[in-house]
Amino acid sequence: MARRANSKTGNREAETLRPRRKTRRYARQRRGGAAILLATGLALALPAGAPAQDQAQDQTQDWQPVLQPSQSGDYWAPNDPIAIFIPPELPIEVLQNLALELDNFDVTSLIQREGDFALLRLPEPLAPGEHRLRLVEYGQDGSITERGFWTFEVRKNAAFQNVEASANVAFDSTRILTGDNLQGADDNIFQSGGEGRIVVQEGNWSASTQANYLYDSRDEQSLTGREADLGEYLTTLSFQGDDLSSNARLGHHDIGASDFIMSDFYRRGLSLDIGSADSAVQVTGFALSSQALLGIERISGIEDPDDRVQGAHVRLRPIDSLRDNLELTGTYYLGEKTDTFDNDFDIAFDDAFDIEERSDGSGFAVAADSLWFGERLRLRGEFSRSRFDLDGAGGAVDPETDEAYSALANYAILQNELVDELPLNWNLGIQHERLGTFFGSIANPFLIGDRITTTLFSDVTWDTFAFQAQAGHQTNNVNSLDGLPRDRTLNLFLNGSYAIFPGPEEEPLPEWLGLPSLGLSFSIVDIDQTDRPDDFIGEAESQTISSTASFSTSYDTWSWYLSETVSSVNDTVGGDGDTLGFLTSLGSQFLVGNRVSLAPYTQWSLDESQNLNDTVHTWLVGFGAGAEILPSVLSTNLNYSYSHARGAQNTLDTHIFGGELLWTFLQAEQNRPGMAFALSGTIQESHGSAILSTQDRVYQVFLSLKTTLPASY
Amino acid sequence: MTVTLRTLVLLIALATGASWLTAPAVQGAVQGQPIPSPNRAALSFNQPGSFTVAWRVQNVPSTATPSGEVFSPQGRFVQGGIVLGTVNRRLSQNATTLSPATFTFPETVTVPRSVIIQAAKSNAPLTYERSFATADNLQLVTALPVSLAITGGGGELLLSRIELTFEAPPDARFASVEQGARLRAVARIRFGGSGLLQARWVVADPTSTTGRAVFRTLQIVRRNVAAAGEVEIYSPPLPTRLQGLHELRFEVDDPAIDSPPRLLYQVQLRQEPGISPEVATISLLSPRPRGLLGDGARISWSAVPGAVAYKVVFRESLADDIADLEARARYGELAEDPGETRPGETVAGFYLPGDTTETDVPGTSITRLARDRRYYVQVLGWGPDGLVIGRSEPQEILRR
Repeated sequence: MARRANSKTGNREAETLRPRRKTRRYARQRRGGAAILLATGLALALPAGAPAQDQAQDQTQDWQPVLQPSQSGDYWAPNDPIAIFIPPELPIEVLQNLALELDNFDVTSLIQREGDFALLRLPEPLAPGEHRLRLVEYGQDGSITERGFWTFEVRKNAAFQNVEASANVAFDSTRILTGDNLQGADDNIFQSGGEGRIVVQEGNWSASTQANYLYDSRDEQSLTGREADLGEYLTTLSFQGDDLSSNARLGHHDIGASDFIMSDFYRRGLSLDIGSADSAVQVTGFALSSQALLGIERISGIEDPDDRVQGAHVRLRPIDSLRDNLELTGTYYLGEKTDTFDNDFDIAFDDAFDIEERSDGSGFAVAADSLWFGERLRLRGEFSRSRFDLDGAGGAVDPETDEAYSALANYAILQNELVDELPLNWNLGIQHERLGTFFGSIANPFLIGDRITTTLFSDVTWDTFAFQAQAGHQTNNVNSLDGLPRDRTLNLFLNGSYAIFPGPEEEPLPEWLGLPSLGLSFSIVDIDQTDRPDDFIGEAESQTISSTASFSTSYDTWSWYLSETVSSVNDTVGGDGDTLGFLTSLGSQFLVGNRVSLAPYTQWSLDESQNLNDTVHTWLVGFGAGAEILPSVLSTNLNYSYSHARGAQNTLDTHIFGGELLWTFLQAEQNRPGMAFALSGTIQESHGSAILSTQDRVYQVFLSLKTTLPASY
Repeated sequence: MTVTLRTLVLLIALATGASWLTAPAVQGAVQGQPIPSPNRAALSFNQPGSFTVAWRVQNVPSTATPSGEVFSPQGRFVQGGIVLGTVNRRLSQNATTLSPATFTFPETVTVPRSVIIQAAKSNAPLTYERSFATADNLQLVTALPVSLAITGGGGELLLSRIELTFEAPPDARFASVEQGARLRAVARIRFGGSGLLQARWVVADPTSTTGRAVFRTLQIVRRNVAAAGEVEIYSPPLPTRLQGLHELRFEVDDPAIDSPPRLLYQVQLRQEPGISPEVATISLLSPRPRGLLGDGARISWSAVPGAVAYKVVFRESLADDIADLEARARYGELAEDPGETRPGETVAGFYLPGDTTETDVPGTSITRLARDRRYYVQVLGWGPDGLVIGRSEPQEILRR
């Protein structure tokens, strides 16, 4: 095991470490002032020799820096300084043109002189792992000569290259001091929550695990019905070799597939991927829960075969010369899922019951994604076939096999073209998608089947101006079922935004305007039934329009925003009838000195249903305030909200006031607990409207002892 | 046609209650045909649906004693005389008086997707039916049916699935976050039909979750959605100032749903290893957002008191998938930025002493940035104890 810093071969040499004796010459793009300025720092830090002219000539051409061994002996520790011996005879002209790089970071300006050594102390610990250090000299002719190149290994300790453990947990012990209408709440409540993480790394191997949890002495406020339970977790074992990389994961994760069969499927389960280090091939096998799970129960996520999907995902970049431009992917899955629909909310019933739907399915998707013509043109195509039995084997509905495909072309008509010294980008694209009526996948639960869609889209960005447009045509009943109508949907969406941000050399905006941003959005969706079954009673034709305008601006100590949305549904046939709605939002944030912040906000909505002759007014007012009375010791937070609704949704007017006064008598630090008393409470008052006269009042005051422990190793 | 007309006349007669007046009174039994209200509902194809109906049942008790229970043992989905599925829920009320009375049985019916698909494959009308009887007279009287229409994209708005997750970590359903952290949730809603979705984001913070949770409204949501599909609705930034347990709900006012989905999150003391709890915000003064970074470009930022060193970091700019942007744009979700990108791997950077707030980008860094590519630049400041005491938001620039 090569624990000692060294050249790339990892040989253990003598006390001093020799640089790689290779001199590279780079064509320099421009001899900017930056390098000279930084190198001056190095010149000032090191003693400049004053040799004779001929000696100086030799030293200038053939000198050799030497990296000194680490202070920790066998390995570099994260906080070890880095010392490089520089021959003291070097003339100042040479020293002025030196630069030191650590892992692609220029660290020249941090170098300090210590005798004949250039000493580098970073303000942060070095991350465990292999690091590269490079000393370069800028030549008079614009060339860059590499004077030294070293690789060295930083280790946390002798046993492991890296061991990190961290946790952040809180434990609150609360007593209800007084309260009303608390419906049998416990007098004493205990809560705890937090997360932890462990990482171990050695050579090409690393392992990590992270998890969070929640405890509440009242099980109704818990994650899963248990007082204490695990939230989500993930354990990973990784191997990163020169030719091969592999990861095994157990816990909550998404394997990264994004196609018709599997997409955004973040679930608890097990996966194993193996691939070449150059990303040419990657194969992932997976078994994941069909359901979103929390808690210790079904800990692996794959115990229940009735609620599990399994399969494989392949990612290929088959052509070396097109490694970043062409990717082929394929996914296959097979799985089952049990959905339960809770049906126990009726008033007149004897026995609550649930409807259980057990579905099973399988399917595959293959896709090719590519970039051409300097990444201006993106072409993507996908084909997928699914078999889906929505009520499982033995159900009333037979399994159905169906297909889906999509084709996408996107072209950057303008790519970083300079207009008024600012880059202008303009993309234009078209996408055509067909999903069969019965296309479906358990591993893509939000996919909507049964549609043929063609979409044109375009977006333009220039400086802080952005504009996006999209127009689409869609039809459904793709498989021409007898009992289903066919709808034709047209949609248009426009969105624009602009922020005014004068540069430091530009004329500032008037003070009253602050730094403003504008946003405008418009969408229209038009639905028409072009084909209906005989005696069909669900006729529907409608036009839905929404538009939003927003403005926000910020000043040194405060900011505000205003937005207005107008939306209407012109319901020609069927549906809920014509509606017209307005939604206004106004809000602000203030900083008063360094210690007080205020954030008032309000929203007002008006919704008119013309068929039902109904109008609903909703009004919301609120504010949040925070103050550091004694920094890090005494602070307070307050919030208030008032909500009011009249019309078809005639609800109670409700005032809610909540607040907390926090006295921290022991400040938490890493690996030292912090403790604080919190006096907190809420008052909720509800008043009846003209129709509803119920009065409801809740008040509650608590005293909590809050203990926190941030721990790390 | 004649049959249809006759049926229509009969329906009208029944709807007006004429049947009760004309039919001979049977003692202790359901009188006439019970009537559903409304008598039709629309369901979206290929997703489970639900509708609410109130059955109105007229009972005439026997002369001697009250009829006792008025009940319906089950509901049935019927198409062309074939029962596609049953709802094994007994509706029941007690008749306690001797005089005739009308009973109303409200019911919300969940329709399994299997029933909807079976019905869509055939052209015959789909109905939901119930029969009622009394304890006195067990002979079931069939009510008028509820006609069910299966629609594609049109019809009334119905929500069939809502999932709440946190935006980051992506798709998480429980989050333990640090005080002051930016946190948002997203509601992914699968819907049928078209219409106005009226909802509210509400939250209970630790000033009430330690006792009886009191939910205050953070934001009113109004969204016109159309043509059956999926919509994502993002919450406003969630409160993270108070340490402790928070409960977030997405309350849908219209159309009605069973129970609001919820998320719990725990706010912890801010204590990132290596980051000061009092970390300040550094403002990047130049280059401007999305501005150019050419050879010899200058970079400047606001000072952080007490900084001993600064680090300027250049990271890759990763673009979101085009298809994701397209999906997000539907139904009027204000796109935050059409060219939305996010910071990726670090590619270059440099350190500077703490008394510097302006410099040329050194050649060693600028030569590592490919021309005509976008990058993110971020400035971090360190205090004397090795903790980060200031940092700027990552800002996108174009290398020229």
